[in-house]
Amino acid sequence: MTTTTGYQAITLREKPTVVHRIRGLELGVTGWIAVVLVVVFTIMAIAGPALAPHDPYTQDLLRANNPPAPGYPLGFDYEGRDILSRVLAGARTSLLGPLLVVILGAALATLLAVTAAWARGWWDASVNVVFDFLLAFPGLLLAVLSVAVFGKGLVAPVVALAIAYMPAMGRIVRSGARSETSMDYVTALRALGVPARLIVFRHLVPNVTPLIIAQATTLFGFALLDLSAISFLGLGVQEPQPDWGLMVNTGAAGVLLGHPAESLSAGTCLALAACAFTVLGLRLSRRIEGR
Amino acid sequence: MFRDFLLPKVGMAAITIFATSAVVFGALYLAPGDPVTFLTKGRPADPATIAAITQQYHLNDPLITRYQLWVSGVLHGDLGQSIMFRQDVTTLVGSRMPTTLWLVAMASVLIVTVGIGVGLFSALRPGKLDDSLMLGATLAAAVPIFVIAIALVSFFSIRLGWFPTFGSGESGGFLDRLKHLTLPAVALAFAAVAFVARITRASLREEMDKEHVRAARSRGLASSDVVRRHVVRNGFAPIVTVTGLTIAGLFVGTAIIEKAFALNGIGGLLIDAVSAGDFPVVQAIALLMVIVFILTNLGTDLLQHYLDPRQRRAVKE
Repeated sequence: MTTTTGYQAITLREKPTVVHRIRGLELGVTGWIAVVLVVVFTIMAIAGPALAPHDPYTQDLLRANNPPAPGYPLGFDYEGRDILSRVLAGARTSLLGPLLVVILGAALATLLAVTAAWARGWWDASVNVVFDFLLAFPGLLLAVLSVAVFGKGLVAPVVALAIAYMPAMGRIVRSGARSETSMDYVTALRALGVPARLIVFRHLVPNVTPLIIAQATTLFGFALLDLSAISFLGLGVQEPQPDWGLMVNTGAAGVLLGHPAESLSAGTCLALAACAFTVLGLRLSRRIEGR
Repeated sequence: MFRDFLLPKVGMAAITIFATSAVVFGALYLAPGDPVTFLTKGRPADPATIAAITQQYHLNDPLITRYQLWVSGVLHGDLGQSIMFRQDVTTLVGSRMPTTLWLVAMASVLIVTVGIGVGLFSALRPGKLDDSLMLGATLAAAVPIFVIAIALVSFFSIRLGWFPTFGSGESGGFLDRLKHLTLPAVALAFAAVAFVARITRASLREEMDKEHVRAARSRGLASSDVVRRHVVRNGFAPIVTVTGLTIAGLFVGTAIIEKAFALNGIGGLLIDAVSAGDFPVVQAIALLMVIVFILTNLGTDLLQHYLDPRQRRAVKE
């Protein structure tokens, strides 16, 4: 609790500087390593294709599954393409999908949860029933089913996972928003005759935003695991598009031949990214709970 | 007990299963285009085939009648015909079941023994080792299981040659099966073991910090007695729930593991059926997996209730 008073003292004297704010996050060593990794992966997702030293699509079957050569530090995949270039270029497809899942899922969850917490009554009850029912559907299964119905590719699994993850976030946001609605400021706004729509979206939503961000970070890790699994199973991103989940699959033949470079490098990226987002999400949630 | 606890729980599970069946049935009609084209994968079909499909799916009847006929078929063990294998779906799924059940059983044993074991050890021995074990568990739970699968094959099968790379060894005896399914079961259980270990430790730690435990310790009661009678007994409820939940989730995970190790269970069959557009098989396995998931969760709730007298009393009041 000493940290809280310390923080207040600063805010009373002056606006918190960037240094104070960063210190105030209290992420710990592992948390900061996670932050660094998240930044690195974000850069890779934005600039990865441009950073690739060679064209990720150029095939040369004569050097298929060849070990590393000068200028090609990770060697070649089963079609003789540069593995390093494909790992870098694959960052975008691999990370964009989970981002869309999280954005769509968070938007849906927030809309339902905040209106449910505000209106209560039958609307709250029906939102709850929908959340309960969706929890009985494992996310990966819903994504697989969506591919069976709408065809291969990332679109159907992204929408399916956003819907599947909605209750996890919705429940937390709902309970957060509900405790906000009983606060004095909400009563005051109501007494002033501020329209419900404005109270909900100008005051309630901003106040539960830290909850949403922490939860979204954790869910990004889960979405990365599930979407990469869909691509690994051959139901998502299709060849010759580079994607980490798909590369773990196409590299499996190399593993059996004793050339695990493709599978292992793509797998390492996936594992590191998933770990970073999970750890950061946990740290942020703990930070919010402690407040 | 029956009216206050069992009835609502079982009723809720029944309603969820009912709603799931509607989703799995309705998915066919969500697909773009008309059902006949979808079921033939857009291939031009002769009138006889179209007539056969129309008759099999009762496409001339209203939707509600179709649903009733489908549900009554499912209840009588008739899940339709596989398009890919030209075989009864029930027979097909039944023949693939043993591999998946073995895999899930072996993974469950790992989760219960190693997961709870590591959590217990970690909870009772605070310090450097405990900290690094828990950080390791957090990270392990975030690694995709197919990456674990490939890493295990790469190291234990290719580098060391200890285990076969694929196949489920069903033609061999018990030991052969065990040998074929060891790596798949480890990969399947990996993240779940880490997760259960973390929950176990957190739950037991919370109990250890409670006043009655501190009081018992300060009176000089033997540490093992305190742990057994106060910490473990009280802290076990969340552990049972989480272990049940993770085991329920294993069935969906078999889809990934069976593809990674080329095993012929129902998880791999689900993915093959999705790739080939064999919709009756997809429907059957999806329905089966959700029902198993719901029933396992229900079973966990009931077990919980049986194990923890406090919950029984809470329901009574």
